[in-house]
Amino acid sequence: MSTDSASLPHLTSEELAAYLDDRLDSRSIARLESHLSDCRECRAELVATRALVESSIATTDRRLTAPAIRARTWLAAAAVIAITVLPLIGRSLHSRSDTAPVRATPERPPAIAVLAPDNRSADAARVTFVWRPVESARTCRLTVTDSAGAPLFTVATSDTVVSPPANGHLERGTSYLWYLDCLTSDGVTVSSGIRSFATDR
Amino acid sequence: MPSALARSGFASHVGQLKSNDGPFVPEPMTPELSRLLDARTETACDEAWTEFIRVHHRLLVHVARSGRSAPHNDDTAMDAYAFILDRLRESGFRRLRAFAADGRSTFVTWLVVVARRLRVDFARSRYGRVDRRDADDATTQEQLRRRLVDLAGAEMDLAAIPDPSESTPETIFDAASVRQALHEAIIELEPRERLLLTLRFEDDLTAERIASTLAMPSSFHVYRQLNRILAKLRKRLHYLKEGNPAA
Repeated sequence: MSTDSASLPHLTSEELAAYLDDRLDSRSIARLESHLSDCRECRAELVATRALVESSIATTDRRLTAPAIRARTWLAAAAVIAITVLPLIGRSLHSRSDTAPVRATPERPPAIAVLAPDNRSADAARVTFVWRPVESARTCRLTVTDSAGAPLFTVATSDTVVSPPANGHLERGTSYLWYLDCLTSDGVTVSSGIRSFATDR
Repeated sequence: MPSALARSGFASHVGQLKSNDGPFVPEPMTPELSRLLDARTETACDEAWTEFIRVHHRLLVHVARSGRSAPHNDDTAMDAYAFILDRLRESGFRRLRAFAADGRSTFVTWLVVVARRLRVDFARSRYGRVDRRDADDATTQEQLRRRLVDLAGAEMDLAAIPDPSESTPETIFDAASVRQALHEAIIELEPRERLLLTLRFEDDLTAERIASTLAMPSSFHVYRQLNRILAKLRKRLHYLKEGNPAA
């Protein structure tokens, strides 16, 4: 079923996205569909991308909507209570207004729990960096710097215990800084924050 | 402004009736994208980029995992994710600025399209390009014609359809005539009809998948349109049988 439209340029990202969103005029749609019917590569991309758009939105919606629905349910219940019950309680307890309001704490990425070395002195020849497993961490990067923050070495690992590499010699009686960044399977980076340690003299 | 359904990326464009021919109204940019493209200092740019990733990382990781090798290899998926981020950021966010200049789609849909293309680029850079189009084309074209002849000829006198195994000069001529008529009939179809036909008989997609791809309400609508298109083709082949191929 090849026609001349097969030799037309492939769809640009903007054209394909606009087609998927149904944002093209009828003339552009006819031109694109004519090309699609003749170009297997673009057709395969259309099919795969449509499925991906749906699954992407479903994925992000699933993560967003479940807590949102729960939150809305609780908010609705709280509103009913606020309208019907609180005025009654308020009237009976209006003299006892010392109850502190409850504030939601902002969501923050979880920090990595470091076990060693942590702000203590360590044997320069036997320093081992240890931390608790990070949930769904794919890979972590350990960075050790001097006390001024200049990087000395980095180690990439999927483990939770790391020793300095061969080129990562640590001096005796010296202070160092170190930190850990872990990339989770969700694509989020979590950090240990900057820690310090000193080697024994 | 587009409908809420269209803005969510699930717009429906059923049949030939379109309502998109009015004045063009560009999609508004999302706040994190505006902030990123408007950043004037390196620090502001870094902060805006961090915010951009925070908003979109789930979607981008999902796309990075969508490759054929990714579901079995999370490291590969993370490499693909890093590749996508690098390419989105390169040349002063060149790709993101292209979206801002175009503005015809929602940002999420555009981001999926671009991230998927980058995912394909990543796979090609790592594993090389696999291109079997030329070899496959001839085979599938032939399969398509045979299946269409079978379907379009369902209501015809089957004796009128040439038997390819009988390779006499007459049967070869008749087979070529049918194929030529079918080719002409398909060319005369509307672009959307040809696309529907190709998705079903060349790409062998299910009606459900086609409905999803073309944003049709259900597989029932796909079957109904296919039946209508096949009826057109049958009519054309019927005229061939009657010796009036030009009708």
